[in-house]
Amino acid sequence: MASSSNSSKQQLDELTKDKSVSPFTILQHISDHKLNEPSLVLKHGLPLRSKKKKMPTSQYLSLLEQLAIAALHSHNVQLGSEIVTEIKSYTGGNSLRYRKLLALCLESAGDIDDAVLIYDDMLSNNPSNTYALKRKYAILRSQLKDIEARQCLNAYLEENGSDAPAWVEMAKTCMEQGDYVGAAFCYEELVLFSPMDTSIHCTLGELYVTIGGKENYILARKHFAQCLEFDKGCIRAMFGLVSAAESYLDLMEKETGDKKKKKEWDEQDVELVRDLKAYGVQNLIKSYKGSTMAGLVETILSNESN
Amino acid sequence: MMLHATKNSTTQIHGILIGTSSSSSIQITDAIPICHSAPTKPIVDMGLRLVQASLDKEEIVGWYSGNERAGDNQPSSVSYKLAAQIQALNEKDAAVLVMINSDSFKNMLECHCDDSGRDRGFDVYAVTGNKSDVDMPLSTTNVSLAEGDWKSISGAVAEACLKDNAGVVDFENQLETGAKGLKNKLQEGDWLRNVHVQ
Repeated sequence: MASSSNSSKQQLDELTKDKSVSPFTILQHISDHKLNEPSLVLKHGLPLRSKKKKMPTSQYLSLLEQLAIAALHSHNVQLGSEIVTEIKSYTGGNSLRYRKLLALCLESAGDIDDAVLIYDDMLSNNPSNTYALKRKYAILRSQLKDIEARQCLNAYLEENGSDAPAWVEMAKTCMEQGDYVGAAFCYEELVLFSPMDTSIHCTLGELYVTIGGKENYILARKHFAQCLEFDKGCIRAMFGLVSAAESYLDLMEKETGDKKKKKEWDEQDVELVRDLKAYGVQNLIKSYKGSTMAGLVETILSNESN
Repeated sequence: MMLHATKNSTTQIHGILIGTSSSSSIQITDAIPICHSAPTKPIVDMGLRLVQASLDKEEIVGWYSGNERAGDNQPSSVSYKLAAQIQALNEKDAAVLVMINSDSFKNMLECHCDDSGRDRGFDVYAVTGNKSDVDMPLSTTNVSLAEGDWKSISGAVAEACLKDNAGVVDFENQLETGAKGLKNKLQEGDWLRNVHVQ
């Protein structure tokens, strides 16, 4: 995903350097690839307003919509409101697209209450209006109303459980509040969507180590192992594997003093964890060999292994 | 710290403070960036170990954080716990928790920091393990510079932050490059020293 957005930006650079390219082509490229380039949109789009008589109305309205959003992203609320007012003269006040832009304008101007009224009205007409739900969540987040924001996002996810970015957002919110159990739940949903995504496995492993407890250390090492199976060079997962193994062994050391709890520890599993730790340590030392931190890494991992 | 916040302006940031301490004061000599996302035990643990192993006469004296959202300047429960654990592990009376303050940071970039240190970009808390530690930051009279004055230092920091490609490499950046990145010296990124920052 990162490489495709980089190539879209590179294409945009080439288009803007080529003086024979029409401004419509540049604006279309920005819109198609959902690039965040408000200054370019304003630079190439504003002069086109004077050519509205040469454009079909639908094309002109699309241009105005793109310009309004770019103006608001550039904190030019006055220009944004002016363009939104012009859109109203074409579409009337009841158009849904016009009302979305009006609400964005109100948010930018700091008139949050009136913006929320518009979103609530949209939701009363259509409770599944995902745009309005997301904007309400964004408003609550910006107002630092964390409890209400989380409730709002929860309500959204109950209706839109397949929205992976929303699960990522919920996980982020949970982690900010120190709720690592909640964050792990979100990442368990994400791993179902993308079972081969190494970063999701790695993050889930880290969350389980952070939460702590024997069962969670076991889950953590499975996710780190899965991550390393997909990407053998993932040093983050190597560190995670060593950390999960050490945490498990430390807990084992503490609990084996108690006769009752000692029986709960499977000797074979303990040996497996020692082997996994040795594997992680060996691979980390090998990965860092030749780098400026090689000596330090070897020192800290060798000390812990002894 | 400011460069770490500049480079990662849309995410939370965290790092370690190193220096020396006595019975009456803590001297911070450096800030080492650790991550630009929510800290997890493996990352914090390994980061602390690597920093500890790299130190000679200095010690780990505290933690710094910057929250993701503008206006969210209070220490989170996570930042506080990390600073409290450093205080407990070091068996000292207090550890330092430095929080980037977004309003003050903006004023610092606009060179509004005054001689008392107001609008220097961050707040300082003394963490002793009591829950009331983070009710209020230390006043500007309790935080001083060993050399120079707040106005000129913050001016230099603002200038560094406003340069193109301003920023520092943190531990998480190094982990993101993977094993291949470590072999490529240009990509490796020495987050312990960040030698390009003068």
